[in-house]
Amino acid sequence: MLILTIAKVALRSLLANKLRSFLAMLGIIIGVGAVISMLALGTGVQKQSLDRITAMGSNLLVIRPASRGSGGVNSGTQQNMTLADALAIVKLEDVKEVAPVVGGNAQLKYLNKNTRTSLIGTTPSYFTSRAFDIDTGRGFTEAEAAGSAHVIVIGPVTATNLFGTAPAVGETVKLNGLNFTVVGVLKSKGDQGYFNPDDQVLLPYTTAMKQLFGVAYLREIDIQAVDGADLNEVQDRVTDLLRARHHLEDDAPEDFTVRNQADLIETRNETNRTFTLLLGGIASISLLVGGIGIMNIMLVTVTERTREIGVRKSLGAKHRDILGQFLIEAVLMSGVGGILGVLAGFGGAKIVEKAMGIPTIVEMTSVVLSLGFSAGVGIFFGFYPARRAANMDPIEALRYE
Amino acid sequence: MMIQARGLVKVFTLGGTTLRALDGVDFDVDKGELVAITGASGSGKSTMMNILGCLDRPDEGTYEIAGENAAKLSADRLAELRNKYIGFIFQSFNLLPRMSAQENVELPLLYAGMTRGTKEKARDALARVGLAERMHHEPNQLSGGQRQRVAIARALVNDPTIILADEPTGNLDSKTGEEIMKLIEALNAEGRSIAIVTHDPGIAKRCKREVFMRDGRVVPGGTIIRGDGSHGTVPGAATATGSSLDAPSANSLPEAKAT
Repeated sequence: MLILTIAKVALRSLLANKLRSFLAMLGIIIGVGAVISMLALGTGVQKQSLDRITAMGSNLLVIRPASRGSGGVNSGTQQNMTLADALAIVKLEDVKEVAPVVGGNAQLKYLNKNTRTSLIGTTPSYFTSRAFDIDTGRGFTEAEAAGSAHVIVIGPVTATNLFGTAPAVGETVKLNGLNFTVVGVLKSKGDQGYFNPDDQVLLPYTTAMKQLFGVAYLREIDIQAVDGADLNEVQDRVTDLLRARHHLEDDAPEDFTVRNQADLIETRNETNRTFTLLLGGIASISLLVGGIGIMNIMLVTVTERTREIGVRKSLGAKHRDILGQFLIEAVLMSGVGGILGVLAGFGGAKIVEKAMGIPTIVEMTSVVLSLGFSAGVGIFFGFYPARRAANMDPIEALRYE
Repeated sequence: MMIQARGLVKVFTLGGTTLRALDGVDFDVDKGELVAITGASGSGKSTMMNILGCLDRPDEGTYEIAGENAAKLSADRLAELRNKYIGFIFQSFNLLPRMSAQENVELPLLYAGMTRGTKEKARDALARVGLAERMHHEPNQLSGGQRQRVAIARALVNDPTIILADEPTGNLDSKTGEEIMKLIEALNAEGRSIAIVTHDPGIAKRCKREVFMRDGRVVPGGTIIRGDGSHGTVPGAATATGSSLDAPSANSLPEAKAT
C-alpha cells in the first residue's frame, strides 16, 4: 500500500483522538523543546565566552604568580613577580609590549557620590593588549605612568555612576582620599557576567603601587607578542627567563603560570562542551520519556483497534502492511511532536535569553538532529506495538469485542 | 471445482482437553454455486469457514482454492490468497470507521498492490450494490443495510473466486435482511460462487445446496440439493446426495428442509 494512503489513514486516526494524541506527543514536544533550548543555551554561552576571550586582545600571554601552598592547600598567590621581571621580558624576541598589572579595590568619590570599583595599575600598553578603546578624552602616557601622575581612565559604567550624563573628562575625583583627574573614559565592552570591564579604573602602576596599595609585587604581567609570532615559542622564552630570574632549580616547579589565549579558549571550550553535553543529556532523557509515552498510547491504540486489524488482515493485509501502518502512525505522532517541539525550543531559548540574560543560539544542526531523533524515537518505541499488531491472529482479532 | 477440501481436521486444546473442531471434513464448492453451511454452535462451521477463508490452517487434510494448495502456507501467503480469491461478508459488517464507503471498498485493491484505478473500481462495486450515491459517506452515516451493502461491495471488488458470508443478515431486521439476501442471490445469478454460514433456516433454504454440520463433521445424508435453486422458493423435488429424509432431528434444522 502506498505510504501516502497509510499516512492519510494514520493522520485521521490521530485526529479522531485529538486530546490523547496531543498528550502522547507532549512528551516529545517537551523533550525536543528542551534539547533545542538547552543546546541553544550551551552554544550561546560558548560563543559569549569566546567573545570575551577575544575581547581581551590578541597575541596575549598572561603571567600570574602560582598558587602558594602544598598538597592541595591553597593559601593565596605567591609574591614573587616584580617590575624588574616585566622589564626583562620586554627585551625578549617577538615581544611587542609588556604591561605590568597591580590591582585592588578602592572607593571613588565625586562630590556627594560614591562608588566602589576595581583598580588596575598598569602602563599604556595595557590598553592595546587588552583591546580597550578610549571613548572620550585620552589614555594616560608613558611619562604619566612612570611618574606616578594622579590621572585615571574610567570605564563607562563608573563614569555614569559618578557623573550621570555629565562629561567626566577633566573632573577631579577622590580615590582613597587622594585627588585624581579623570583624563579619559573607556568605550563599553559589555558586561561579561563574572566581572564588568566597563566598571573599573585604570591608572599608572607607579601611583597604584606606591601611593594606593603600597605593594612591591605585581599581580600579573600581560605580554603582547608581535603579530605572526609563535605564541608557544614566546611562552617558552618567557618561562625560561623567569625561571632563571627566580633562581629555580631544574626540577623545581614554576612559581608562576603562563597562559596564552589559545589555552584559555581551549579550557573554556572544554568546559562548555561538558556543559552542553550535560544539558543535552538531561534533555535527551525527557525525549526518551516522551518515546515511552508514545509507546504506551500505541499499545492502547493497537488493543482498541484489534478488530480493525482483523478486518484488514481478512482483506489481505500482510504482516508488513499492518506493521507499516502502526509504525507510520507512531512516527507521525513523534514527528509532529518533534516539529512542535522545535517551535517550543525556539520559544524556550528566547525565554531563557530574556530571563537569564544569557544569549542563546539555535543551531540548524540541533534542529535537524532532534527532528531526526524524534522520528527515531517514534520508530523505536512504535516498533513493539506495531509488531504486536502485525502478529495478531486474524481470527482472534476478528472475534475481539 | 473452485474449492476442494479433503479430510480437514482441526484440533483445539482447551485446558488439557482436546476438541476436534473439524474431524475429517470433505467439502467442495463449484463455480456459480450458492451453498449454505448450517449447524448448531460448536458444530465446527465457524472453524470450517475460517479454513475455507484462508484465515486458518487445518491440522490435517488438504485444501485447494483455485488450484492452489492453501493447507500449509505461511501467514503472508494466506493473506495473499484471501486478497486474491476470497471476499468476506461479516455479520457485523466490519467496515472501518473514519473511512468513506469508497475507501473501505478500495482496501482490498490497495492490499493487492493496485495503485491506479482503485477509485473507479470501488465506485463500480458500490454502484453494483446500489450505493453509488453514498460512496463518500462514512459507515456511521449509513444504515445497517447500507453498511452491509458496502461490505458486499468490498467483498466483490477484487472479483474473488468465492464470497464467504458469515450470518450476513444476522444483525439486520427482517426487511433489510431480505434485501441483502436478494442482493446475494442476484450476485449468485451473475455466476459468483457464494458460501453462507447461517443459523437461519429461512436463509439456508434459499441456497441451492445446504450442508449440515455436527460435531465437526458434515452429517452424511444431511446435505440437501434444491433443483436449480430458483431464488426464494423451494422447488418441489429436492434431490439430496444422501436422502433428505435422513435429515438430522436433534438439531435446529427446520422441518421445511424435508419436503
